[in-house]
Amino acid sequence: MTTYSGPRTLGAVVAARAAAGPDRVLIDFEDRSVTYGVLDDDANRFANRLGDLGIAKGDKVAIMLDNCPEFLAAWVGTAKAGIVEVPINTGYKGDLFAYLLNQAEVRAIVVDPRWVERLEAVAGDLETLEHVIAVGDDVPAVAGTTGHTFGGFLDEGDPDPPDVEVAPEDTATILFTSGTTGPSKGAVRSHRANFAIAEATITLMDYAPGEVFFTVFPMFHVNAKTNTVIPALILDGRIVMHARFSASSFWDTTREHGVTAFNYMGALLMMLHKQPPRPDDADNPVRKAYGAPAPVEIFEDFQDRFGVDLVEVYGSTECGIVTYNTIHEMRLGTCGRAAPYYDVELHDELDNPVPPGVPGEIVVRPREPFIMFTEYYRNPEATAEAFRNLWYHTGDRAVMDEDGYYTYLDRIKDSIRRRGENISSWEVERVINSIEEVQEAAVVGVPSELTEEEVLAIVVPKPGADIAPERILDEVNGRMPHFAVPRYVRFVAELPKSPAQRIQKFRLREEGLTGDTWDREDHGYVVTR
Amino acid sequence: MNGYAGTGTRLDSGFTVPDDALRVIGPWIRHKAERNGDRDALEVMGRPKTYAGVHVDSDRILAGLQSLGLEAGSHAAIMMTNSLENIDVWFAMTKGGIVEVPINTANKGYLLRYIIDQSDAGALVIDEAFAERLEPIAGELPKLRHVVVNRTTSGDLGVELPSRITVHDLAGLYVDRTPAYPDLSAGDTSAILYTSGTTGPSKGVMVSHEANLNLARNCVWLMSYTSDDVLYTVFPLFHLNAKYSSVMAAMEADARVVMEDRFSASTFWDTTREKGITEFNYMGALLMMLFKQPERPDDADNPVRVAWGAPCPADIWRPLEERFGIELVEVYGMTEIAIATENRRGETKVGTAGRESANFHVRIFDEHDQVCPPGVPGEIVVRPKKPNVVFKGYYGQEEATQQAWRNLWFHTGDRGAMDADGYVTFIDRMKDCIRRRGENISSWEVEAVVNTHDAVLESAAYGVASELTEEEVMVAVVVKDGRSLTPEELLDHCQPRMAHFAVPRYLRLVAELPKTPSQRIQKYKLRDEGVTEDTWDRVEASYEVKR
Repeated sequence: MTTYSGPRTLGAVVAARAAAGPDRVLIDFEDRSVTYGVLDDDANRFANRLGDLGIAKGDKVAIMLDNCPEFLAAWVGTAKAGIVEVPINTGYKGDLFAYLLNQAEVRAIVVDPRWVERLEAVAGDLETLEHVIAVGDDVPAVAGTTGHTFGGFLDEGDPDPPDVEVAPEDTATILFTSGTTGPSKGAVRSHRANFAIAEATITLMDYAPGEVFFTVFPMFHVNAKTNTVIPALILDGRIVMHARFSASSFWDTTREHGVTAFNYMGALLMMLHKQPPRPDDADNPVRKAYGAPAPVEIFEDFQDRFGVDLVEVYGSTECGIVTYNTIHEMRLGTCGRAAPYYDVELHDELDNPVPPGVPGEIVVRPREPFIMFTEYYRNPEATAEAFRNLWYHTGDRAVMDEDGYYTYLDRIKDSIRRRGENISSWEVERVINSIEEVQEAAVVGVPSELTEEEVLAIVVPKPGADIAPERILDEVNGRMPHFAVPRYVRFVAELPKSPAQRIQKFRLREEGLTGDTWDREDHGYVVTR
Repeated sequence: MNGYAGTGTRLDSGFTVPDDALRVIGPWIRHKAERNGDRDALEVMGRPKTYAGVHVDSDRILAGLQSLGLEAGSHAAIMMTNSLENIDVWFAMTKGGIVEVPINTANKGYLLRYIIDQSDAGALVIDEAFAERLEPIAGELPKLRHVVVNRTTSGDLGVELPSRITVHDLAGLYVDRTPAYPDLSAGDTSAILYTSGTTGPSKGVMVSHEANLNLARNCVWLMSYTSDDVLYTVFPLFHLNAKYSSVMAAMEADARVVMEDRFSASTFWDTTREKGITEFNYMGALLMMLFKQPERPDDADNPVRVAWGAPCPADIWRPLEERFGIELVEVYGMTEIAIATENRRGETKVGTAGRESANFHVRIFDEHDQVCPPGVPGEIVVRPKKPNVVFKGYYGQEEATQQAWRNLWFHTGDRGAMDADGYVTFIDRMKDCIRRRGENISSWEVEAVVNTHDAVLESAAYGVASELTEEEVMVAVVVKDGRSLTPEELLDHCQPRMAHFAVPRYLRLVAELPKTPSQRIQKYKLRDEGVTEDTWDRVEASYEVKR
């Protein structure tokens, strides 16, 4: 087993691994396994079939699937053809779903049959979509598009490697991140940038060839791909990838597959921690876990109880890993020190650096070309704004100690972080404000017992209007991803505002969960997915 | 890891700005007036003005502009030659947070209309002599509401404008009333300065109050200006140089600036003696003209101690310094970044533009944005060491901003090389633009005008070496089948449609243009061929270009 050192593109690393060991298993999903050879072959076929349809380098293809072998094949296939992959959060529906597909100029989408009806619902609004490729047996029939099955697609594709030059600097993916003062923004990332994350992960975790990774993170986010799959490819490792997390069976899974490392977010650690203690808790093969945030109050207990070293980092879709602890040097409560490939500073609102101990916005400058996102796709205004003074402004606030360790504080930008998802309050407000009986609304995050936040909607009904909290949740549930549906609703006569009539969200956050706040958990309201 | 490392915020030794320095221009002018009162700050075209006068008159104009409804955040253009009034209007706008759009006084036709419209200027202050240029374009300026004319005659202006545009007399805007002072911050936009585009129309460079003051302070530090200095410039107020590195630099040093609008090599040294000038700002052509003057025994008998600018040809650098008894301080910069590299006094390396300034980290990149080894030419790129010194973006052209800022470096589009000691030599513009006597001329814009001539099939504009340093404009033209075209006919077509300095000097009629397989014109081949035997030269032909 050797460490890959060829060109930093996804297509090249898969081809190299397949050539060396076609029968080796790369990923065990819950029900199926994928070998390097099969993945390489499927990816070639997928790429060539897209080429047959006239979809070529630089074009955009969306993938909207739970974690499954087809996601992997489609992803690698786009990479081999130099096609830009646009992963779509499986929670999307309605006008925001259509917005993403149009904004990214998506020409084809690979989709789970369960969500074809979401495409049908917005078919009239889709401006660029030509092909719908559904996993399963049924050929999808979305108005204005040509339908394909994923299996048929592969059968018809040529298995030879596509004849396309793909450079590390070429765009690999457009990842949508929640907008705060506008709609979601598509962060454009190169293969080089994706490899930068993978290589940093290997360094800071001290991963070795043959590592066995577990992840339950969805492949439509950056983490599963760049912090698990690409590191495994580089290290000739193996992956156990699940679509859903089960706290009760997690440790059995690790024993069964010999998992040595997994990726976490705060809620996942909390769920494991809340499981009843068992005598064999520490009897597992896992040695390392990577993620953020690691709750300080359970940190030591967790490490001792399960025999796992936790490493905490700070990063984002745009930048990948910005600061990190290492497996050998972890300062509790911090996300470590600046990564060696970034200049990192904390700035005040005038863009001057703040001294240690004083909170400021995290800003970064890359020390190598193309290691962070290139731009927000078709949104140069947002890029230019984020790049002011030639620093990338993350919108996140942190404080640095005298030794250069950063502690993450919160998001300056107005978005809510719930169980690993960034939710744009702007987008939720837009939906709530469209309700007939609503005068105006503000949406903020409030602390969750599972770390991170829950969504609180503060709503001003129109004079004389009668509206139930359920009505608001129904509206959001119908038009937005399930995770964006507010847990809490509070009705008020008016929203606190600045003299310039800007809603003072910081006040609403400070007030938090008041006595008159409605909680959907208390009322048995069920959010549909 | 490579040569990007360590490009964070940094306070260099040398030029620093104290924490308590004023970073907004309005309060800074007031402070200077309080400090220097009745001392002269300016002498423009022979007319003096005191520090107090600068403050009071710009306040009066601001009150006048505010009476027209202009307020902080409004945009307003200035199209004026160098005059005290020009400075009054400029400072008035800056004090009021009205974003100033200075326009090259040579502009007319398409480009003039484009700049006024693209900048969203709601008002235009213009010299009477240029007002007639508005007539043919005013119909296409829907956002323009006020035209303020700086009159030198009385009676009817004789210019017809649409009724939605109100015409005012600048003299009437000197209103004796205290204006409203908005609360501005260092990073607010003070001006939008237009530079020639290369693959498209001109771009408006947004600069901040702090950037302007920082440039002035950088000059004071670099040149060791004191209140005893008298600065001299002939550069126009519509460029960054005269505004921030002469007028504001002089005021920052509590000194005085003498400003004219034309350079005379034969009378220059007499002028310096007469007015006690201790410093002047140059560009290459100006130094060449001085150097070509017949030698005189009193050449070195003048009060000038230093001169600031670029580019001085390396072979005349020391001879010129010795002959006139002056010291040249050469820098590299551009509208977007002001000073990026500088030869600090006593550390000069002849032929170079010096080392990175206290404002910017400077590198030379290859086409993959990797750092070039010492001596290897590449693109000059910069990252600011402190906030607000880099431009805020191209106004309304974020796509161009994003492109220029890739990998979080500002890509200047200039080619240069850096030696092992960090000294940068400017080589040429990689961008498709022509540099003539201090003006950047967009070849795209020249071609746009040439191509509108009925007999022209296609054309390519490019720069060829000028005997006065920098370049002259040359155009290669393919005439349509069965048509004929004389050089004079083509220039007659160009004159009313472009700035005088952009009118081509050299013209070459060709059967076809050299092209790549993908049909892109290979200008480098035309540039290499240069002024060929069959090239027509308007200077030789005594064709006169009117201003």
